[in-house]
Amino acid sequence: MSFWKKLEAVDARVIYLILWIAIGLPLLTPLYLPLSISPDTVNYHKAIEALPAGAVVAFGMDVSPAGYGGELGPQARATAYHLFTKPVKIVFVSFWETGAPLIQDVWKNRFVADAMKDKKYGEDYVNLHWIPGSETGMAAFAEDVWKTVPADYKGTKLADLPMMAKIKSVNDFALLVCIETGTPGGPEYLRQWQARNRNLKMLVGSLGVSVPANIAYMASGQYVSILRGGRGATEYQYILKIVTPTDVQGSDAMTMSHMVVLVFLLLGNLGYLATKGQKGGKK
Amino acid sequence: MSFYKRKELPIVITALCALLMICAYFFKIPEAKSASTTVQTWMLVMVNFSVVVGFVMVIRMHKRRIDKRQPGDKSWLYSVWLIVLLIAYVLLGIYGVESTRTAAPTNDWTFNWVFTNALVALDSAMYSLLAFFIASASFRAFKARTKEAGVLLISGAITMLYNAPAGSAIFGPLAPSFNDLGDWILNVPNMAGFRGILIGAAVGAISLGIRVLTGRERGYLGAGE
Amino acid sequence: MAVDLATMLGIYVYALFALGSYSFTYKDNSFFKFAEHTMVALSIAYNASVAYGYIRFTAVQPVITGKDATFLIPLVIGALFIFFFSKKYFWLYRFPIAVITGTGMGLAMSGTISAQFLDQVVATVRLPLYVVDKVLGFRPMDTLNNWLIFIMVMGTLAYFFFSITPESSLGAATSKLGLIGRWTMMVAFGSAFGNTVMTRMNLFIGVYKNLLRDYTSFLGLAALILVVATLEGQRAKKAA
Repeated sequence: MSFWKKLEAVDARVIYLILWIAIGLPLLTPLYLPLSISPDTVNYHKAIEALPAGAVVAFGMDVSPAGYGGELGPQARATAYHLFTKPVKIVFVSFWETGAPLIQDVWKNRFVADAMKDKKYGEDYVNLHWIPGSETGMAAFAEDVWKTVPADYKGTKLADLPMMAKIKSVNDFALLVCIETGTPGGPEYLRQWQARNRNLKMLVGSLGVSVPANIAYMASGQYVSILRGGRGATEYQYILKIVTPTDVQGSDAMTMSHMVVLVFLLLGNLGYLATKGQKGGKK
Repeated sequence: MSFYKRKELPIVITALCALLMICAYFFKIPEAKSASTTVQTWMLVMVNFSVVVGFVMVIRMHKRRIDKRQPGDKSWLYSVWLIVLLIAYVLLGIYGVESTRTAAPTNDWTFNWVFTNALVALDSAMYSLLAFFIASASFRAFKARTKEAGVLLISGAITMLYNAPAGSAIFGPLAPSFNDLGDWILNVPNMAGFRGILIGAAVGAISLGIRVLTGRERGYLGAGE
Repeated sequence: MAVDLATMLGIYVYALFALGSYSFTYKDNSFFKFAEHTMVALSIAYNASVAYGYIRFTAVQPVITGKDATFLIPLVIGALFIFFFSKKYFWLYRFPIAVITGTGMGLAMSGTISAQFLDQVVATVRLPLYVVDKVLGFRPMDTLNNWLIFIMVMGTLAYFFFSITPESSLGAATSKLGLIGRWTMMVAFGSAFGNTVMTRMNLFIGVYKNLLRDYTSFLGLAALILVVATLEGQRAKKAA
């Protein structure tokens, strides 16, 4: 059997083991590979920097546990940190039942917790927890916040949260930051929130898999900017100067994983071309 | 069959609810807006009851597996574990809601502990299994057999190099226009392709909506007359 | 630094379920089946718990306290979901479905027309086909890119026009434009593949990072699972 045929017949578990090792190496010791910053991340950062004092920001934590653990957690933490360093009011909300408890996980991050020290719950930020109904829930919230959400995540009535006095509908928000896993997410916010408040700016932190579709919304001006998956999260952390050795290791691991897949693609196609030629010769 | 048992009445209800939402959205009629907000708030309550259907279906399915167990086959034990865990975690959730007097069961420490350490682990790991299969497929299945597949492969390879954090930093200086190429692929052909797909999908969604409104689409009402 | 028992137990539970799930890539085994069934149970139970909490405090509470008795209506209609399991009264199940579908469909349609259709069409039509910068003057690359975007969007839309017969002259022109759309979509899907690889790898990296919090749990449980899976595989081979 030729070398290429032997290579093609290799057990899939060997491929899996190579992946474990290739990704594990940088996670054990950071390689400090270089990183460039994309313009989209710079624009994302600028949009939050440009927020005027007192602006009301909706933070949509529409994530699944899987998405949060991979790309969206770093995005959410970096965005929350950045917002907490600004003199703005933040309304945390989620239309994913699994996203709501992760809001508190974001607050536990040491950078975010540090930035929150001077902020007062109820006056500077609130957590309205989960709203069911997917797109209908978004529409109901956009029309009438107080009718849709009777209390916050601890059961405190909205009337007892001072900052909610002036927040009655989507027209009272200046910016929506949506950290999305899928549906409901950015497009649903566009249909139900931005369609009702054309002045509402949107920033979206998305999974890499959603980036191609989100680019179309960004190009049309519906989104101000997006964070492109895990890469965008790392770039944002670098801009905010909150990158830790673990984040660097994650970034290096991302590079190694992509290189491994590219090598596999190359080998697979070289093997195909080589064996295709052999098959053609036999004829 | 009596009229109220046939599908026509629910179809009329569907159409009325949809028309109410459309009127409230496009026209400035305060009564319609108020009515639509009320119906939306009611719908948020109703939709939560649908989880009961899934709950009962899963229990029935696994109870059937337990009843049909064969000697020597131990797979029915997993079904027992599933049913026990399902009921236990729901009871813990209800306890969490009642003891904390809040709508969020994760305000209870134990419920949140299970969520954070078990459910998050399982959800993340199950979805990330695809990483292995993508690597395996890249080696075995993703072959440029046709010109179109070749174009797809090259576009994917450039995107992967561009996405790899060090990729554009390493290749950028080697080929100065590499970053521009990666950017161009994302912002021109990719954007154009997905914009066309979005517009097409929007037309499809609107036509499906009209079909549901006019009662031509009845699949959501289940089988039977 | 002392780690409390709950945190340590949490690390071991996390490792057990993560490695149990990944063990499927080695062999189908009892750890994977255990993880699989646990995930189904916990997912449904979690959804049921949050649904209970929402109904309890949003609808039931106002009805009991008399603050808003109108919530009795969605409670009664929502309860009709249970008739999904009845052959005789299945028709009652259709009422909550009708309300939910109608409401959702009406909202989605309304929003889709502006956000997904009009805005995207306007953005395409408004593309400047001759780009001039006030400072830098004529911009050839931006102009070319805008022309390409315009043609490619038209091409992608033309690809999905199945109602025009290719035999007619309009049909022939549409097919040629559709060919451009096909190549555009190949590039777009290649880009989508590249981005999907990033997402999936990052999901794995996220779990891997958590597994490496404690080497004992990671390596210990990995060894245990590999041994058990291998023994089970050998036993299954002997039995077959």
